[in-house]
Amino acid sequence: MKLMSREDLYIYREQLLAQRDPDSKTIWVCGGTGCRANGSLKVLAALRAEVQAQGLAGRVKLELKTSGCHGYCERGPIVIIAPRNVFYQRVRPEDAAAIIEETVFRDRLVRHLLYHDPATKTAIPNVAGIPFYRRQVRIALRNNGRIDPESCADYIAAGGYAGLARALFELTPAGVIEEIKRSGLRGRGGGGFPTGRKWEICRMAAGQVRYVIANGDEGDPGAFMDRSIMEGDPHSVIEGLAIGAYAVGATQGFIYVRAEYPLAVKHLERALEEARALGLLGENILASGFSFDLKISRGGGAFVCGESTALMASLEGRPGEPRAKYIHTTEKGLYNQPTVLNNVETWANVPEIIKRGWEWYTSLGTEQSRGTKVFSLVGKVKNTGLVEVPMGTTLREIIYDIGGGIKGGRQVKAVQTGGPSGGCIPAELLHLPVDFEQLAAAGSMMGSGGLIVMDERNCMVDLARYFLQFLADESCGKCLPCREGIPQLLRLLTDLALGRGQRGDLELVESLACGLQETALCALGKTAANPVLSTLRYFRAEYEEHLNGFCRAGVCRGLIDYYIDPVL
Amino acid sequence: MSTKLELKVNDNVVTAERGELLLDVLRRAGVLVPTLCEHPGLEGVGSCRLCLVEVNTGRRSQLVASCLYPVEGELTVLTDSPRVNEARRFVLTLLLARYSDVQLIEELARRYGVKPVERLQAEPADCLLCLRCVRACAAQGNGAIATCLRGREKRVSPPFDEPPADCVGCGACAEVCPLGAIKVEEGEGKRRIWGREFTLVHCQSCGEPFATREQFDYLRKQPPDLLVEEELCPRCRKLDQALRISGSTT
Repeated sequence: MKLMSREDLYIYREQLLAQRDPDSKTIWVCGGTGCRANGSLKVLAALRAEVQAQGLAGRVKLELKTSGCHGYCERGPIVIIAPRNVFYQRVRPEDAAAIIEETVFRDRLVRHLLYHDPATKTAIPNVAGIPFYRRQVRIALRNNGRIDPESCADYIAAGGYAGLARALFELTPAGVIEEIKRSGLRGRGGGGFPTGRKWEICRMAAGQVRYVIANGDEGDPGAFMDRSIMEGDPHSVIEGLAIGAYAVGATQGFIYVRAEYPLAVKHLERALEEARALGLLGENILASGFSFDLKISRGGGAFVCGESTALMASLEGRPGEPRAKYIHTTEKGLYNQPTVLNNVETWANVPEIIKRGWEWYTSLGTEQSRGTKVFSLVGKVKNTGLVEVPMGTTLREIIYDIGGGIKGGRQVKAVQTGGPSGGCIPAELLHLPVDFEQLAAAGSMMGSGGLIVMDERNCMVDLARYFLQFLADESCGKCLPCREGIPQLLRLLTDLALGRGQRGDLELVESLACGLQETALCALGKTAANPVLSTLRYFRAEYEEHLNGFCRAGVCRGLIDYYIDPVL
Repeated sequence: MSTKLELKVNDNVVTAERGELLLDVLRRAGVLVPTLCEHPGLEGVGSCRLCLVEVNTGRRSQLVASCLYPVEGELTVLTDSPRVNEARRFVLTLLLARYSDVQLIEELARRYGVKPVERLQAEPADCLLCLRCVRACAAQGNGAIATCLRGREKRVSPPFDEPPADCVGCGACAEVCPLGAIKVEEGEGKRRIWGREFTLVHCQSCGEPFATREQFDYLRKQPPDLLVEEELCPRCRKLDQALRISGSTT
């Protein structure tokens, strides 16, 4: 079936909603990568077998579905039973019988699978009551966990492609750009460049053809925002790209996904097929006269390909190395044509802004940073996972109210934001709101949304060393400062960690780090020293202790002496 | 829109064409800018970072690689500011740590007063990764060599480190290498480079070897039909032409 008009889309959605039986139950098993790793597919199989075994097939109206990532990976595998949205966590295949028998058949709760609030020790029966979700506002993750990512019908039923329809039939391309500009949306990949302005420059640039690209080459250690969106709600990215393409005048787009995300690729491929079959991609979309299609390109495992010019080089089949951006990619990007490249999360925000209007979007976030941001909250917090909060939420709220505080009752020491290009923010600054300018002023950056929480058992020198090691491995080696400077810094920090530091090393580290910032060719090199500079800024005493042979966190093994206590 | 622009370079006014590379403008104005990877016959890459200069567009001031920076508007350019010198010294410090016995680097370091830092001395390297060789090969239309690996392990190599199938043995790579790091051996009518052997073609007039058989084979395949049957070395070809011209006028 091909949808041939905006009305067709509307009618199709109405039909989908009408087909829903209010008496029917749905068991949602999380099929995100995190829950899969915890065995969620075995849980799904066990549930299916149990439905057969208990002979429920016919007696109870029931659907078994898989969803994308819910974000609460810490508690996986997660099973939700709609319509009451009963939330079961850490479900094992052995629990299948109880879930089917009690909850599905008798509408009773299985106590031991419920989430218990650690503060009050009480069981929380459904999703809405769980503190981890309560403080979140989900726009980019609006459908994650709520729809089957392999079903375009689910996406449409949830309001999908209404944004594209509005853009195509109510707005001019310039009108779409105006909406995005007014919404204040800024690039979610880290740079924070105003999205609407980027589109406008591309639209105005001289070129034969124009391209739109989604950057799904998420490579920051500990970050998985984009993966979860591509896996859990692929159509949101596709719809965003289609709207962007209409706005800038592109007919071809690309989704560049790192090859380490096979599930994301699978779901995106399936989504493209379905969207094409429904006439939401391809020639003459919804008979609007606008044509657009997408290709998926898989990355080859290079962190630097997340950099826009390196990504485009890789897309063209050349080695993934960045080039100088004196001429912006919006003017000369892919194949030297005007190109808009946005991060996956940015694209996922677009349909919702167009559907609901820019005024709604500006009601969220801060003056300079509108909307919400998805963070992957990892490290020493109790509730690791994916969280989406309005910009301006403080780090403390994210770590304590959503993250549940630090494991083992210990104290936060620092938070690393922005991955290898970002910096460390010390505990004293947890009152900082997440906002592009505020994080940059503190010597870190928003980055793509990695948020690594550390306690007193983390060594800051070791942390900086870790990121340098990562970047030394990932530097493309094109420019001298990055190729030679990062290994030099790495060696100095390794020496510190091994107790081989020398007087003057800290000053040398500082001068090399500043030199690197000034001279490297691309953003990867320019920001490579941020973890070093920010830890030096806030934890200099710890560096000096290492110089004197002491690691207070007990992490740097070269500085630990073992001896046998003769008394014991 | 006028194509002429006026730049302020270290307190002097310099004119430039819109779109011209800043390094070319600076050189024409007689300003000395150190370079390593840059080569007048090749497209820039901006990998050595020695040609960094400070530009101010009125909105902001930044360091740019002058070999890549197109002049698109009014600019103030500083080529000897504290910021530029700091950046140059940093680059040269890193270079000295790996190429301490390379004369070219030593001279540059001396010119800018940079001394080796003992703590940074690392295993000596013989390739700057300026990629002149790779670019020269691509400019010749062969593209027989490229870089492999990344970071400090990155190096120039033929595909899979095998004798390169697309190489014609022209030796352009070795010609443009600032360190003379690419080995070319000639003897017994053969030229050896990148692990492959090529047959030398001798000038039919003076008898000196001046190209390889593979170069001519390659040229013959190129459209439009190039006149390649006369196998004279460039010197003898000029002489031949001169004689013909003088013959035709007398």
